Formats: sequence, C-alpha cells, structure tokens
Amino acid sequence: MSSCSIVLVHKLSLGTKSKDKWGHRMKKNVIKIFLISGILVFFSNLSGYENPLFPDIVIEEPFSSTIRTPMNLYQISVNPALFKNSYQEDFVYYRANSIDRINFFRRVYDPKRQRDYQLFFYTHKILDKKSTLAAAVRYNRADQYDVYRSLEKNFYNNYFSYIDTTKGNVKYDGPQLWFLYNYSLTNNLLLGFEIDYGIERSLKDVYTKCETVIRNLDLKFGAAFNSNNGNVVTGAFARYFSYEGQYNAVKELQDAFVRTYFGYHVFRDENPRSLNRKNDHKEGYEFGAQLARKNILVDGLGVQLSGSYGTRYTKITVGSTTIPGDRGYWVRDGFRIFGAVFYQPVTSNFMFQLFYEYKDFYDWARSGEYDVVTIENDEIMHRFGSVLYLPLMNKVGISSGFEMENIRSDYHEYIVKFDYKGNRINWNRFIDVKISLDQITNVHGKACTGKIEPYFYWNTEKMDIISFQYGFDRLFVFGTLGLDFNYEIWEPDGADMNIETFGLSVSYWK
Amino acid sequence: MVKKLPFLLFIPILFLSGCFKGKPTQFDGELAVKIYVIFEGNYLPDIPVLLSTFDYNISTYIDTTDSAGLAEFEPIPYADYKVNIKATAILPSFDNPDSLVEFTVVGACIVEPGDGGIFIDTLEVIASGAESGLKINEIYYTGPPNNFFYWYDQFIELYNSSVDTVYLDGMVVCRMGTFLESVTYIFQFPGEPLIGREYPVPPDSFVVLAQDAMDHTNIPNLPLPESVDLSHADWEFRNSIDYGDFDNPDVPNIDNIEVGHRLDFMINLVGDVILIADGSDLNYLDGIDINSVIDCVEYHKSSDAMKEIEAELDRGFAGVGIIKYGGESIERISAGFDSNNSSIDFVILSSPTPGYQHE
Repeated sequence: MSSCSIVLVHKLSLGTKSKDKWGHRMKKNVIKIFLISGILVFFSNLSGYENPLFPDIVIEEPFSSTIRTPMNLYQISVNPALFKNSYQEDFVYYRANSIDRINFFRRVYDPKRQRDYQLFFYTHKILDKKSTLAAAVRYNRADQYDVYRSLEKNFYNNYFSYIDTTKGNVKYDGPQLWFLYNYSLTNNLLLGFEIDYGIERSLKDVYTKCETVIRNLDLKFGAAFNSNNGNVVTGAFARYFSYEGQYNAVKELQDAFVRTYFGYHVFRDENPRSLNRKNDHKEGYEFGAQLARKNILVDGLGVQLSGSYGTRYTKITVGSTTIPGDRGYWVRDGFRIFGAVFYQPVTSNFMFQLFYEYKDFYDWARSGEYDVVTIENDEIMHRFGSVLYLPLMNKVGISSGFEMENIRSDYHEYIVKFDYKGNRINWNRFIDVKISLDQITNVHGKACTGKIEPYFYWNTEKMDIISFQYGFDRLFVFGTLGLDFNYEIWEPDGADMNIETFGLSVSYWK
Repeated sequence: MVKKLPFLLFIPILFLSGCFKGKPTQFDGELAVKIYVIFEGNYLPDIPVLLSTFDYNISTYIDTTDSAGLAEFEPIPYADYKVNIKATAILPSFDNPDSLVEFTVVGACIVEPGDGGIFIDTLEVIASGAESGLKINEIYYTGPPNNFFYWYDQFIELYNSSVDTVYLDGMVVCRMGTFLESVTYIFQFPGEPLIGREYPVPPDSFVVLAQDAMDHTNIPNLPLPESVDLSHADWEFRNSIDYGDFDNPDVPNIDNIEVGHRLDFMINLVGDVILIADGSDLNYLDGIDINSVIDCVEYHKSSDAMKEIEAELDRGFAGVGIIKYGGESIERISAGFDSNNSSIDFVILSSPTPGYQHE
C-alpha cells in the first residue's frame, strides 16, 4: 500500500444521463477533473523503469481531487481495449511537478535525500466513431544525494543488487513514451493496443563512477466485448514486457571494486577491473480477463472483476564486458484477482464502493554456477477498502475512504541461512473536501493518516504516516490551471528521525 | 464466436506456469565437503583444516581431522573453496619407528564442487620445506594508494627454503611474455652462473630485490605513507642505459642484460609472470630453457585470465582479486611453500612484508 494520498476514481461513462444540478460549465469542469484523476492512474502504468509483474492498482493519487465515481475497468484491468469505454472526450493535459523527500530515517543503502522532477504531457482523442488514440510523453529526473555505496536506484527492490565502496550523488533522467490505440471492430467488439517505452540514464558523481543505461518496453494487446445495452463488459488481454539494464562501474587510476548482493545479507566481491559491468535482463508475460456488470437489480449498482496471471524472469551477469560471470537468475510468478462493488445512482451524486484485491506470487532464485536455489519468497496479499462520496449542497463535496492490507511473507535465503516470516498489516484512512468558491474556482484539502508495518530490512516495527494536501484550480479562457501542495511524514516506531516529503505540482488541462 | 473470443484468450494462461526455467531441486547451503588428510601414506588425525572462499563474504570454516584423517564441513554454501593446512604432526621417525618426530606439514588444494551434494577429496600434505630451494616468496607489484601512477616501490622477495646455502651468482630474474619462449625483461646478478660463490643465501633467509632501493614512504613533496621503505633492500634492479633510473650506491645491483632495453624492472600491476633461473641459458632471444628455471610465479587479478606460462611451472594465478594502487602484496602461505600452483601457494596481504614472512 502506498502512502496516504487521495483515492481517485473515474467516471465510467461521462456522457451519461446524469441530471447534474451544477451548471453546464461547472459540469464540464468536473468532467475534466475526473479525467485528470484518470490521467493520474496512467502515472502508475508509466511508473518508470521497473515493469512490475502486477502494476499497482492505484486507488490513491497524490493530487487532491474529490472522489465521485468508482474505478473504471481499464484502471483495474490495464486492458487497453477497455480504454474507449472509460474515456470518451478529447482531452489534453500538461503537468510539471517536483517532490523532495528527505530521509532522516533511512535504510543503509537509501539516499539521504531525493528530489524528483517530472514534465508530463498527455492527450487522448476520439478519432472517429470507431477509433480512439491516446499518447503521453514524460520526462523524469531523480537526483539522489548521499547514496551510501549503492549503485542501484533502489537497492531493496532487487535480489541481485550492485554496490561499490563510495558515497556519492546520482542523477537519473530520461524520457518515456506511451501510446494507446482503441478500435471498435463491431458495435460490440473492441480491440486495443498499448505500448510503453522508456530510456533512463544515470551517473554517479564520484569514483567509482557508475553509469547506468536502462531500456524498458511494455506491450499490451486486448479485446473486449460490450453488450448492446452497455451493462455488461468482458475482456481479456495479454502483456509482454522486457527490461534491459546495464551498469558500468569505472574508477579513475585504481580498479573499480564492486560487490554483488544475493538477497540482503550475502555478497560477493567481484574481481577488480577498470570497468566492471552488471547486466540485468528481465522479461515477462501477463494474461488477464475481466468482467463488469452495471445496473444490477437497481439502477447504479455494479460489480467489476479482474484477474490476471503472470510470470517474469530476471537474469544477472556481472564482471567483464566480454565474458561476464553468471550470478544467477530469479523467477517470479503469481496471480491477482481484483473485485469491486459500487453503487452510484444516476439520480444522485452519491457514490459508495467496496473493493478487494488478492495477490499471490512466488519468487525463487537460482545460483549462477550451481543448480541450486539460493532465495525463495512466497507472498500473499489481501487488500480491501471502501470509498464514500457525499455531495453537500451544491458547492461542497466530501469523500472519505479506508484501506487495509494484510501481507504474509515467507522469505528464505539459503546461501547463509536467513528466514523471515512476516504477517504485516497496513492501513490508511482519509478525508477529502472540495469546495467550489465560484463557477470557475475550486479549492480542496485532504488529510490522511495511516500505519504500515514494513519489511524486515527497514529495521523498525511500524511507521505512522500523516499527510496533508492542499490545492486549487481555476478556469481561464485558455484552459484550467491547477496548483497542488503536498506534505507527508513517516514516523518510524522508536526512532527519533523520520521521513519527510514535500511535493509541488502545477498542471494545465483543457 | 465473437463472444467466445475473450475466453479463448484465457486459454494460454493454463500453459504459462514455468514457461521460463525449471526450479532446481536442491537448495544452496546444503553442500558437504569431506577432506581426507594424508602424509606419506598415513592418515593424519588432529590436523586443523581451513576452508575459505572468495565467492561470498562468509567466514572461514575450520574443522579438525578425526582418527581416520577426515575433516567434514557441512552444511555449507555451494562455492569454490581453498583448503589450507599448516600444522604440527607427530609421527614415527623414518629411521627409528619407535621414536616420534615432530613435523610441520603444509598443504593446500582447491575444492570445486559439482551439482552433487557431497564433495570428497584427499589432500596429501608435505613437510614444510619439501620441494625446497630458492623460491619467489613475495611479490609486491600493485603500488601504494595514490593518484599519480606511482608504482616504483615494487619489489620481489626470495626465500631459501632448503637446508643448504644457495648462491645468487649469475642467476637471472625475468619478466616473461607469453610462455617461456618470450622474455620481456632479463636482469642478472653479478658473478658466474652455477659455480660462483660470491653471493650466498643461507637457509631460511630472505632476499629483497627492489625496483628502486629507497625509502618510498619519505620522498620529499610526495607523501606515500602506505608505501614501503626499501632503502635497506638486499639488491636493486638497475638498467645502466636508463639514465633516469635511481641507483642506491649502498645496495648492489642486478643489471639488465637485454640489448636495447631501456627500462627498469617494472612489472605489471594487473598480471604478469616472474621467473628466476640459474643463468645457464642467457640466450634470451629464444626464451628460457625450462631446465634452468628455479622458480616461476604467475599472478593476475582475474581468475579467468589466459595463462601466460607453462602449467609445469605454475598451474594457477596468485593475486586473484587484488586491487591496483591498493598497497596490497602477494606472499606464499608459509615461507617457501611451493606446490607449483600459485592459486593455492599465495595469499594476498593488505600491506607488503619485505624481508620477513607474514604471521
């Protein structure tokens, strides 16, 4: 579960028969805001260079926007064929944002401070009755300061991490491109194609200088079937993703001295050489199917169900550029089921939804030189939550939500025996208020509290999380401008230090 | 058919599991290594056996042989291990079986387990000083920590592990190229090869051959506190046609005899072959006669480097994993210990020990 931030949902069908009490202009404005919520979901799909096997289904987003609609099927399934059902108006969006995270409390290989900058452009357009096109471009930059030894962007995300002997600053940057095309083959059958491509480079500023070059590719193909009355939607998708990473560690005058970790406790000193390289190759597949039904028994009651199965393979080699040594590989496979029930009658702006997610995956890693298992991890996650939206008068909307997850981990390292069995519970709750000051100006504020029980390598039992968000947006003749500010603090149990995050975002949409 | 399409797409899911790699059936950390220790046909009890690896940051395993001469290590991680033995054994005397004699035995070998769960090997130890003679005991070639390419403090240490005095007269010290046919440098001690008696090396004594016999830790305006003081070296390499070569007048010289060679005896910081020969074959153009070779050591920082010298002279590499400009040195595990496999004969020292053996 991510930190406290607002739960965002989408309006499945923006052109419904909703008898909105707001004025026409206001209604259009609201639609745009809903769309923004949708766009923010793409951030997770564009979430950088990781290619997670099961991308997070983002209920929450770091922008304050009152939640009025349940999640749409594209959001929970990532089936590109369902995009057209969810977004039915042309839209253009620009955003620039910055996040400053100060890790007063940190793990050994975390940076002391990280500043992220992003420039984001997104658009989707209804080309004709049958075709919808969406595209996004994002430029990412992350500056990490005082990184102790790690040559990884996130040391703890890998079983085979790479470190050297120095402390320095690292700058990561690169573009990402995203493209989606939806086509209606018949009135009922939809096809979709989606591609996400990114390149990232980084450089550590002290010797051992380490330059990384990463290429990321994510392809999805999907098909969906709509019933004639639009109440039943079913679909299936296939996903292929690949990731190629290269870490080049060089040292001036002396040889680069690097280490490869196997898990979190055992490492190997690599042969020193003027250029030491780690190659990281990942490849994976995911297949899924989904089903949604609206207006069951009563108007506005609906269910959504999505499931997927996937597997990913990661191979690591380290050493010379010509004949690198095999350090092993790891395989992750598992499945996820996500279900939601929502109620949103067309005669009212009231909305309530419940969701449940079950995720089960299993990791195992093999030694590079011997046919033996070095690491195993079995993880099961149950997650559920609810969101309630209450419109108060015409100008105020309040949403509140609660989310909880239970993660059971069974982690083993076998080179030198280490076992961890965890049964962790994380939760958060929020309340968000949005007020329309006049026909063209809105302000919003959100407060959130939560608790997480982190993994063993955090070396703390739990963390309390508090966050606040404020913002406003105003409609101008050229479009709408929005400004958001976010503050978040993580307070580890029994530690004097904490983790603070400040965020600032400027956005423009029309 | 259209309605069934999404369900047809679901079918591949059923076949996806394990589409990449099969999971191994064995787990790491469950290897058993059993080493029998033998000395002249007898299994040795109560001998401490050390098992260490460069593969992981795990500590050295120690076990003592039982009455059958067996040392067992289990369960341990799958890795390449180096086995070392240096111990005192009490055995019946060869001349008088009724009396007991104390021997210092040494031995080493490499354990390279396969995918099986058990590795069994026999290690034949030798009495310390076996295969005795003049040995290249230590080579310091990496240079001290510095950022101006300073490595002129290199030295080679010889050790006489025999019970007889050996004489350096006319011997040659060579830096080899590719195999014995190729000589890169050849420097010679003064005196007559084989018959000269001017420069003795008593038993159990060290000889330090410095590239430049000076105190490298105390050079004006060039602080190198982690270098080494070679001002009292026994010999100094000298090339009389290298006019910039430092020459300590108090230290005798080993001179270059290669025509046209204008460099001092500088050896590679990454990998090289050092050889000493008795000087009976001075025609270096066709290489060095293997029968004249007294000792030879090949070192390289990488274990997968190409061998540059014949396996009869050295089957391995010393100095695997060493860092250039790290101030580290390589030395035999015990003075003069030589099994003609530098991978197991040598250890890496964090700092050089000219003229004495590390603890």
